[in-house]
Amino acid sequence: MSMSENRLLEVNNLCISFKVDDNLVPTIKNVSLHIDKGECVSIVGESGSGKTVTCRSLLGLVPMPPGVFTNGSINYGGMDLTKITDKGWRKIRGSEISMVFQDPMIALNPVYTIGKQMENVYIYQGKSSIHSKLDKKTSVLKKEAKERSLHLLEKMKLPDPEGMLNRYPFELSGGQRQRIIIALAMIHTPKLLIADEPGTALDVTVQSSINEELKRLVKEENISMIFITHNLGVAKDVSDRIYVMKLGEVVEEGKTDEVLLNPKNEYTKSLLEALPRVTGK
Amino acid sequence: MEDNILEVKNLKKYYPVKTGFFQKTSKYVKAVDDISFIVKRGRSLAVVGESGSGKTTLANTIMKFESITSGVIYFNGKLVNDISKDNIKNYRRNVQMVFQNPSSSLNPRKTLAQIIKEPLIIHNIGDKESRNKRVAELLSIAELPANFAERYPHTLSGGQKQRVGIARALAINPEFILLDEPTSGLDVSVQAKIIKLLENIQKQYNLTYFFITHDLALVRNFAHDAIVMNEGKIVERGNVDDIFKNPTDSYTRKLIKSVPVVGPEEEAYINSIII
Repeated sequence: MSMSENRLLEVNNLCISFKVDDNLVPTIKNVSLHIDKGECVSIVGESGSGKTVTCRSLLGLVPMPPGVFTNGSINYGGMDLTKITDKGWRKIRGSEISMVFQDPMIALNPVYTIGKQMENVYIYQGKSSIHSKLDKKTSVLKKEAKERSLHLLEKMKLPDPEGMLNRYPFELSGGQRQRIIIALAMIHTPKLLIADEPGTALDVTVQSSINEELKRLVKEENISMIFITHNLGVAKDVSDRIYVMKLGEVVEEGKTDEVLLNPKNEYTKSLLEALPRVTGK
Repeated sequence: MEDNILEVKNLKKYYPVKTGFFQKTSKYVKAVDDISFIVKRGRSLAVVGESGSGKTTLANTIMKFESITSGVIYFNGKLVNDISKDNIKNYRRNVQMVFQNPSSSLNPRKTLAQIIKEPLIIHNIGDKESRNKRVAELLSIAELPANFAERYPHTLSGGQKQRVGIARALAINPEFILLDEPTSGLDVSVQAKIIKLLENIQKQYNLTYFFITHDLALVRNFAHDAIVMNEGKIVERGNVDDIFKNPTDSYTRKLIKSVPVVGPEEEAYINSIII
């Protein structure tokens, strides 16, 4: 199988079904998509369109069973991710492919400080247990972790990053938490970041500034991004290309501006029409 | 004929912040700070602001879920401040609310029929037969299939749940409905349908809406008038078209600028606004 030099990840004819009462319900139907190095791609669709399941399968987070791969492959760095074992995933999740989840309120551990959580992820990500042998002395790793955390918090425009490390999640607003979760996902500079509607639970002004910072940070760190959203306006702000999904299928794909200015598929058109316009009807 | 259905004058709601061993009140959080406005009958007033701007507190004081620190509220020319606990039911006969999160505002142990019927039972309207008839009617107004009556909320999608919330608010024929971000948890395409439904219902029953939101694009398409709130104060008010044509306050301009847009026309508009 040949992949061009610039290709980071390629999904070919992916089919995922879910077992419900001895029947297989096809959920993802022949989805093909790809992402190049340094590219930002959006997957747009309504809830139930399969965008989240598709992205979770890139991280091995689709529960199997009840989920089953019925066809297709996910090519990443010479591997087929549909065939990776639990142990293999540990080397990929977080360090190669990372994810930002939708709800900032439940994604952080309430009993640890932000600094401790970032440190733990920095030191133990990819290790099978906390007793695993570390490559360096713990004190050295802790120092590195702090440096990297401060750097990322600063980049995410959090006020007083030093003080932030000693705070608990409940002391922070939704926007601040989401910024920390993004920093956490990037702590090991993954090659691919999957952002699952990171702004939907937040205010518009906070959402637009978080998307702005996220976009800038992935460009600076040379990380590719898959951005999941149901809002075409948000997709326009962040991505170079768009995939539109409906009922488990990709119905339209192309450069962001082309899809938005000249949508070919009826479904894409209806999504565009549903969007309230600031200029009136 | 247009008249004022709701009139709010110099409304304040302060929360005391208690500190120290003796719980002395050291300062106040001014959630709603000296606000005055009028809502005209048959129109929609949008209240726009970020979280923490005081818009939900404002709604709660209008619903009389919370007491007020000072100021007056008139509803249909009658003073709302004086309404005692015993008469509150009479007041809420005309003022109903659709809540923000449809998943947590419907009782999971009741069927849709029971949920929609509840306001009728509380306000002692009709008998068993007429109530059932009314439920069927409300389901059809909310564009839900009639056989949904015996279903439970968990079998519904987010958009369908919000339709139930709307049907429940309509049950006792109120004049005034408070909508607290009714579409914030929904997909854009579902949002469009819910908004269409709300518009149709408003025309048909001559309802007045008090619409809380942080989505300015939605305000542009749905509301007649708007007030923009920031830190408990009104920073901009007026007709929606005027506000968008010429936003005078810098906070309003910031809000407009953060709306995600798709078309070139919109982009030109957003770019024409300078913070």
